[in-house]
Amino acid sequence: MQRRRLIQALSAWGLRTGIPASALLAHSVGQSQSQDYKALVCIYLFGGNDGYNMLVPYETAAHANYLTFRPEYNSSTRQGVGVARNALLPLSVQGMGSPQMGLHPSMPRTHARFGSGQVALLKNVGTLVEPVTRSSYNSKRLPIGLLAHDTQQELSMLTTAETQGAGTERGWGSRMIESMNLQGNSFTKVSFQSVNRWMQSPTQSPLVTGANQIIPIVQAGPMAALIAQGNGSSRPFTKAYAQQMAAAYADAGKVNAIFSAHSGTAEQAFLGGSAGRSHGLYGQLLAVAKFLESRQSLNAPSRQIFFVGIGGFDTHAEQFSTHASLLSDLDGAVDAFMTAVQAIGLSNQVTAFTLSDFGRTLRMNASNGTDHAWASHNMVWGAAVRGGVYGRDADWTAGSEDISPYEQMSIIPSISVQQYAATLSKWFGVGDAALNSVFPELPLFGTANLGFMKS
Amino acid sequence: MDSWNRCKAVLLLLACALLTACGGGGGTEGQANADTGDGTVAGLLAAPITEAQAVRFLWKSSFGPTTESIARLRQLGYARFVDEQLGLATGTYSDYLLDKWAPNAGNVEFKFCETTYPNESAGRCYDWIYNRGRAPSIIFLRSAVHDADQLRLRMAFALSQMLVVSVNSDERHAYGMRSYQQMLRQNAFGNYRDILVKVTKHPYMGAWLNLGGSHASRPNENYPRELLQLFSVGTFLMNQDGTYVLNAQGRRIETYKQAHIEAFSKALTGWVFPPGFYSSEAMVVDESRHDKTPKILLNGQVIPAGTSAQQDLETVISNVFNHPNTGPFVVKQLIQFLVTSNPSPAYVARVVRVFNNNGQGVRGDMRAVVRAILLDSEALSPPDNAGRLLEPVLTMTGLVRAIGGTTDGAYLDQAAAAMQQRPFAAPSVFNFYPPDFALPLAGSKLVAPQFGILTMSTLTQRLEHAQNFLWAGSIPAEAGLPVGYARGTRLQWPAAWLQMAAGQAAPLVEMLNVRLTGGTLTAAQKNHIAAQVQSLPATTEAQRLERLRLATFLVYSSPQFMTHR
Repeated sequence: MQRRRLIQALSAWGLRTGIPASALLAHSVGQSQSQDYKALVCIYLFGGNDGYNMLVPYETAAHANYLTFRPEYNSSTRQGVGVARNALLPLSVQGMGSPQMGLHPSMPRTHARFGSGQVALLKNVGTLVEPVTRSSYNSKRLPIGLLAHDTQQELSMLTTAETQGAGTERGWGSRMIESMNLQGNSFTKVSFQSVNRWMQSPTQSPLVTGANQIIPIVQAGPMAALIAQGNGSSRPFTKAYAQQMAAAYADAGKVNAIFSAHSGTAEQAFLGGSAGRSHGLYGQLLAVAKFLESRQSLNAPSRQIFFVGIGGFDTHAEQFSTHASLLSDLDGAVDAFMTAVQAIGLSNQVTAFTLSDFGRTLRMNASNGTDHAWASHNMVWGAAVRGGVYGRDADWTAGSEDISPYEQMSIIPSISVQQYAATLSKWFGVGDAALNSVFPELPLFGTANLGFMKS
Repeated sequence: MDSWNRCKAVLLLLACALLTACGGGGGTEGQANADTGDGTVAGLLAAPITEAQAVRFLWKSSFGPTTESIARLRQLGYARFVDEQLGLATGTYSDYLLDKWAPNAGNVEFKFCETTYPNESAGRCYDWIYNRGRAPSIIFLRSAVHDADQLRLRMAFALSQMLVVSVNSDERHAYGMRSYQQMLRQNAFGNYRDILVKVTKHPYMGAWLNLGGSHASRPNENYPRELLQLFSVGTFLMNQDGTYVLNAQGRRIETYKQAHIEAFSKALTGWVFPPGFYSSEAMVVDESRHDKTPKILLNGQVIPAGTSAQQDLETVISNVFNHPNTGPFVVKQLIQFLVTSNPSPAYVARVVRVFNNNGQGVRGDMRAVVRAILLDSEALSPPDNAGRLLEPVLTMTGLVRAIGGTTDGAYLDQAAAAMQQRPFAAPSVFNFYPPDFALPLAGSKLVAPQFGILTMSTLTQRLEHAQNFLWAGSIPAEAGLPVGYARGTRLQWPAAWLQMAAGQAAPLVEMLNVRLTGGTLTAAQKNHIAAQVQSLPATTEAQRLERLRLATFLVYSSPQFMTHR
């Protein structure tokens, strides 16, 4: 079988997608090498992560209370969902007395990094349009489609209260980037998980590709003219497809160069840290690490955002072992990633954070699982993090102001996704004035900067 | 055809011969929307069908045009062709090794294979019956290429992307998935209410969305939520033309609240898995698990206390089925899967009227709905912004069918997986891509669901797999598959095409332009492809085959082919 592979650099075409010809020159091309470079990595936990089993009350009475909602898991009978107190990894916060919270036993590496001040845990984060309590529930604007995967995924990635429909949506990842007037290119926004709304923008598509997968560059020579002619079509679908095709052919060579190299510092450090694991989330974060290391070859701008993620968090039944396994992957993959980031000298410049559709019901269901709920706990990793536990505990007493009157055992968030995102954006470099236009609802919430990032 | 229509047809042919606009010429793009006849849908239906028009219609109503189906469609006309398809017997997905599952027999697979199919190794048996995703997808793809009930298969595949179950979960049992998909195929032209009942009761769905075993003490919300959100009424209130109803502040209005989900969850308690699990198509009732309190469904419908699980299921399904939202919510997606991603509100409304009442007072008649979708003027004569990105499965089945050949489905399954659309293996109940994914084009307000899985990898895989297939000619049977099933994939280039490849390139390219894209390549593209092909020698048979491969590949790779109207 004859295979035809004409590897041919096609950057001479200049067929980029949607980059304005007159890009502002606030940051020069060589900027990404300097200390001004920063990258944000969104780790999406698809399905609704049960944050209440990830970060668990450790203090004796509080833990006993926790178990009343979700009895302790018994590995022989496989009943229950709760984590035993003596299995938890207690989180000591300096000057705060004995540990109040503990991490799930599957997360020892995160626990160690927390001890070094490099992990922030945020309590009771969720989608909100404006602050709401149980009493004010019927008079406040609520997020659309609460407890539904797709609408909540959208809102966590867009943060705007009401989606305006196709062609207008910009994820907050894109809004951050676009507010900074970078001289970006097709590597400004990179996803190794999937096309996603966090990076969505009518004017600039992200680069989305499989982690560590070599892109076949098929018959580039003859293809060039076909693409150009498709790009000239008046038919929107044809034109849009041709643009995607052009970007693929233009950028594949650079992507392949990175993925085919295996002896770089980032990869060696990552695989050392992950004990050789490179599947799933490990593989995606390995790809991010390699892209970070090669940002100069990509002519990357001084700000980049990356999207990775895994599914399986929709644990309606037999939750315990599934969730434990997922958290173990999260813990191991992020730890290996941060090891690699340190090895390439970017410790203070790369921050990773979790995001998820929603949290899950406090109370276990009849299938040893939990159902869709609202607020959840999130995590942020990096040397630029001001380590600690942020946000306040919710009152789990029946009828409390923190519990939704309708959504069964759903905790109303006390931190909005807007505040979470704005704090990350501020670290990323979005100016104070721009923050309110990137997050229009931000003034409705008390604190714009939650303080979990060093300035 | 009566003498007046014959007269019109002749005049039309003369007119086309004089005008260059009819079939696509000069510097303009191929005119895919030549509105023949008198401009009305009756005229569209009565006028003779060109080969290009036939090709475009078959991309909507089958898994790709073949020489035979093009001829049949042109002979019968659109309406009779559709009716013929509607009347065909339902085909059967292969049940090789999947047919003799013995209920309650424990780990019977190995013994069963060894005794009943001694030529199959236990390992191959086990993989086929249990291997995550491959058997159901492989047998589906074989049917999609070869089976006669093409329109039914398109509907079944569309339904499988709306009423989603997936092997991408703990449910790996191929025979359960095959049973579910065969149920959709069997009922694709039945009534939507029946489909909802059968889907709700099927054990595979009961396992996938946890309805099986749901207990009154803590009703499971997973299935009831998706029944409302994805299978019937949808999240937001719609007008009968598929547009959203907006409140005084210009915002969309939710169709149901959490309280409804809780009521539906209670109503749907009491169903458990039958003995033998997937050997039956329906779960059975355990009344002791059923919640007998009153419930309030949509539109204030009350279920009083003391009703049975069976009664409640029927009431629940009627409640969502009869809700006015279900028509537009279901119809709009069906149009997206068959015809175009952005149907006009008027088009949606016309079809919804048929969903609401098929003309004989019946609601939910899918046979009538499919007819209305395909025989609408907007399907037969699409506007300029119409179209959709061909989903990955269709690109591969279409290629095999257009050229000719045989497949056991395995290679197509690998290709589809690489393009993130392995049939019945969606990553979640939300399918491979959402119905409202925005077309990535500055200034556009169109939706383009299939762009939701178009990445640098999957885009190049479309081309890579086609190239592999076209140049290989024959892909051997896959080693790990049952020897009684696996046959590999084999191309059979039509002799006429090989002959054309010996001559000038331009007619060859034009033929492929019509046969694959329905005549939508521009003159410049055709010239370019012809030049590439012409530059290759054409003396020997091998050289002509080379030309043919290149020509086919380049036409297939064009943005016009990938984005059909």
